[in-house]
Amino acid sequence: MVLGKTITEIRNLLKTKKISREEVFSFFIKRIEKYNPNINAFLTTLRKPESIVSDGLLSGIPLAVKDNFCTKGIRTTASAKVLDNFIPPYESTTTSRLKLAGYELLGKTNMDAWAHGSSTETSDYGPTKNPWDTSRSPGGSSGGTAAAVSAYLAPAGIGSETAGSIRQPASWSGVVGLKPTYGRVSRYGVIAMGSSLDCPGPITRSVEDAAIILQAIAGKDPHDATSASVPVEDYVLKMKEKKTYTIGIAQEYFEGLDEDIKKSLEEAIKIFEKMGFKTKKISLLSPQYSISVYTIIQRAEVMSNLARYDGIRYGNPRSFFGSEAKRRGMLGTYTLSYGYYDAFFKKAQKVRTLIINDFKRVFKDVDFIIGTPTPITALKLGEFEKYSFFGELMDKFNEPAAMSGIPAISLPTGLDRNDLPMSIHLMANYFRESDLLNASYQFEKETDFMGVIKKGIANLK
Amino acid sequence: MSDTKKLTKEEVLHLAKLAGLELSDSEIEKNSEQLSETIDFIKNLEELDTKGVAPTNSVVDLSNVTFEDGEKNERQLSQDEAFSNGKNVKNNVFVVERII
Amino acid sequence: MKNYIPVIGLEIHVELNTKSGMFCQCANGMHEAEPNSQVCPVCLGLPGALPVPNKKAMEWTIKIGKALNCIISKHTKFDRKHYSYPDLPKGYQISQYDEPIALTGYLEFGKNHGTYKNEEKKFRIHRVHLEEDTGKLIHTGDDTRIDFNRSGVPLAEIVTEPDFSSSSDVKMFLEELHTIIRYLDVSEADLEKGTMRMEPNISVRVVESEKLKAESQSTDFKLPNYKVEVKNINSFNFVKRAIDFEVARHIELLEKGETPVQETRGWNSEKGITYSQRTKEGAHDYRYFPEPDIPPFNFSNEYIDEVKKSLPELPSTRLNHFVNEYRLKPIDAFILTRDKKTADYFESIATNEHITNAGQTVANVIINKKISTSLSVEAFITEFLKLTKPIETNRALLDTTVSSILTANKKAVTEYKSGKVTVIMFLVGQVMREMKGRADASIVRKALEEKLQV
Repeated sequence: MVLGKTITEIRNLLKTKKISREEVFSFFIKRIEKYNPNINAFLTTLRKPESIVSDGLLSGIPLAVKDNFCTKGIRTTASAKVLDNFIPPYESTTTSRLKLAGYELLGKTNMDAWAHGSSTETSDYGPTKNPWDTSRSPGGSSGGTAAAVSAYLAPAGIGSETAGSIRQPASWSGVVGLKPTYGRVSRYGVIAMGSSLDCPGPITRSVEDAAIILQAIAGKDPHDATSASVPVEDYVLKMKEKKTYTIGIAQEYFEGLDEDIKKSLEEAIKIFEKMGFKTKKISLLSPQYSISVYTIIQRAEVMSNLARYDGIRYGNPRSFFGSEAKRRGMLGTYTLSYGYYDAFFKKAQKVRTLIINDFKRVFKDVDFIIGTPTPITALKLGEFEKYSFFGELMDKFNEPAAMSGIPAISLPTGLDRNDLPMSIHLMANYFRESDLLNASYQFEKETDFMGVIKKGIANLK
Repeated sequence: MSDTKKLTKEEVLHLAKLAGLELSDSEIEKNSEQLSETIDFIKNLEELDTKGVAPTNSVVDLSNVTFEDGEKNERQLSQDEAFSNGKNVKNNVFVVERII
Repeated sequence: MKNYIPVIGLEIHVELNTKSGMFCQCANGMHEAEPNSQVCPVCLGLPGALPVPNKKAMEWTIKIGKALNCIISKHTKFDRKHYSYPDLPKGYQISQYDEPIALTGYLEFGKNHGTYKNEEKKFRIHRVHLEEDTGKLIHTGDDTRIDFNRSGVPLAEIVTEPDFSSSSDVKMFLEELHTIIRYLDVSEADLEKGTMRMEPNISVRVVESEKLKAESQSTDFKLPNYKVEVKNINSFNFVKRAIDFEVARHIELLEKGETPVQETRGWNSEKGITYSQRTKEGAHDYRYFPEPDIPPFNFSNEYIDEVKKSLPELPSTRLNHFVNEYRLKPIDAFILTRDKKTADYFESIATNEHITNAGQTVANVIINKKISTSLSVEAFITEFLKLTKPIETNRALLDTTVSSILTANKKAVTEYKSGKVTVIMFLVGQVMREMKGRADASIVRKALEEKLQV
């Protein structure tokens, strides 16, 4: 009865007492027991529902939570052996708010260790496999959550994005992924990767589910000085309003795309036009520069954020760091070190300003910018080893939004010639999540995501 | 600017020391190559004119964010909680090998 | 011939006694608390924790800056300073690098200052900035033990220019700074407890003999190519001694043609020496970058003025005020203004309606502890009036006593009559003693003078 249902649908079943929350919970636990040993989406699972809030937005709903969110009393590793037995004595704001909304923590999901990656292969606990083709990566770094939601080991989940880590795995795994505006959702309690970049966000099977989760977790947090005071809208309500928008199309975001992906992007544009949306040609700075800006700033922040792991108050010694963490830490050190700061870090911060201004200029004329979160579909496991900065190159279409902090949503648009999921993404101006959700909701109603999400259930037998 | 010379072993070890990281011999070699490659790429920023452009330290449009002194401490940890993840704790202090 | 002039700059850390920490709400100043009992995810540096600055700590740093005549930055921010040490939970300290709260100030010392006649002197402040303190380390046996209660306490750091060329000047400066901090009521500034820490940076430069006098006044000279930082000094006397020791040590090395090693040294107060702690290889590579977790600060002129207005009258101003208003001797005004409470106490009395033109007398009474300052102002005044009431002099007794004293001290009388008028004080003393103090000294003197004219 539960199989394939969205949050909204499960809530209805619970409210009409057609099912109990224990039954819902055990349904997912059984699926996890059956399929997780193969796909390795979850690192830690709970046994039973424990929420004491019975009338919240998410009451009775089990969610998968990426293992970089500190969950009090429950092992949190960021998929890194350095934190192999770390049990946080405090709760992240995001999961606190989910608790207030009545959610059930189903389990903590696998990720690239420290979120350093775009394939979940740098996890110290083995990669997660893509349910669509278990010889392939589900994307990363929120690969565990994306795979779990795709294979319906959880109806929805929480991931985090530094530059594509929600959108790209959502794309490779064929589900919806929302990166909110930086500062929209509190980072307190999220094991930091890129402090000026990290954004917690939902990975779901429907746009409405993303709106519900965002509703529960968004808002100012006195424990996070970078969290925004902008009022939280009623996302579910606004999502259903009748609206049309103008979509900007930039040639720079069409370069280097796989043929099938390019075709599906062009088709999606036609669908939006059919829905009454306008389109406009725009021009943006080449994403090639964002790669450099992102690599420099992110790796510097990474180096800094890993400095606290000295094994004294928690964690294993630094000798437990994996090679990706070391690599990023080294470059971060280089670009910040004496004599190099101006040429690299400061320069990157200046180009960051150019990127921000570029988007500001363009958003005067359009509501959204359309593109794809990834130029290719899911790679085979092991392929990323070839690249010296694989993640950053792969995420070039996601990095501009990351550098500027603007929100974006990734939506499935079909399967490619290898039956692998493809997606488009829409980027919008700061704090325009309700518009993103609105347009996406319409797209979903119009296309049902080409049946991708529903088809995904059948992947695991 | 010319292509980056491959980082020497000494330079790599110096970076590793600053970053508090231990590298195996093969890691030193690999890092030397990969770092140089990456540095070569990120130099493309030199193509952009940023004269007079202010650096962005934060994308949030916020300033003067503070808390009021004396506010209730809702996050205080008990000693048990503070020590719960420490590997070497004796008599309510964290213990490491003597440094001075 | 070569001459050597010390070149000394100072780094002073002041623990602000706010109620909460610099970036979290953990209680500050709990010196008696159990170790690691005043911590939270933020100051313990747990994964995922984030800092939010304490508003009062920012304000108090502005106050310190203003008290030191600094320019307050309209735009300021925090930066991460990276280094690895067990007492530093995040592996970096949140501090300020290139945009500190206060810049380019000074402290002036006028002729009234101090216990000896000073020349007018001025020492420049380079900057005042705000940062967080580290945990405490205790080294015993094979272990180093860490208590993180102090981690995250707000610390104001004051850095001077290398304007000092004498250890006495340094001592005078630090004592005045200490008094100012206490006036502002922003810190206990207790040297023993470590809530005020002082670190001199010392080097010595060489000048030609002929240029010595001019050079020693100059602040515009080429800095020596080394400097030595001395830590672990917990009294003003020790600062002077440590500097003297270091200067002598440097001169000895320089005479041999060697340059002292650039390093950090510790002061051993028992042996009266400094010892090497660790080498400062050039500067540490702290890899500073702007703290991404904390948005920057913009201070309006109105806000800065508001903070300035909240400053109390500072010690040196108060000192001059006492000299001018109450006609105190500078040394007495200096003593009274060493702490605000005493200065306030004195002024409440001196301005009281029952006290007229008696400032110096009040000062004497307080300084010589003739009446206890633990009395309330009213009680003090009552005692004071009793004490200074002119003594009823028994005229008849005075006459007879004067006569007998003059008779008994013929030598003094002769001296007086031959011009040594100061001997009258001796005679006054004798009469007073004979009358067991029950006479007014000025009346006694007059009576003697009258008798001696005859």
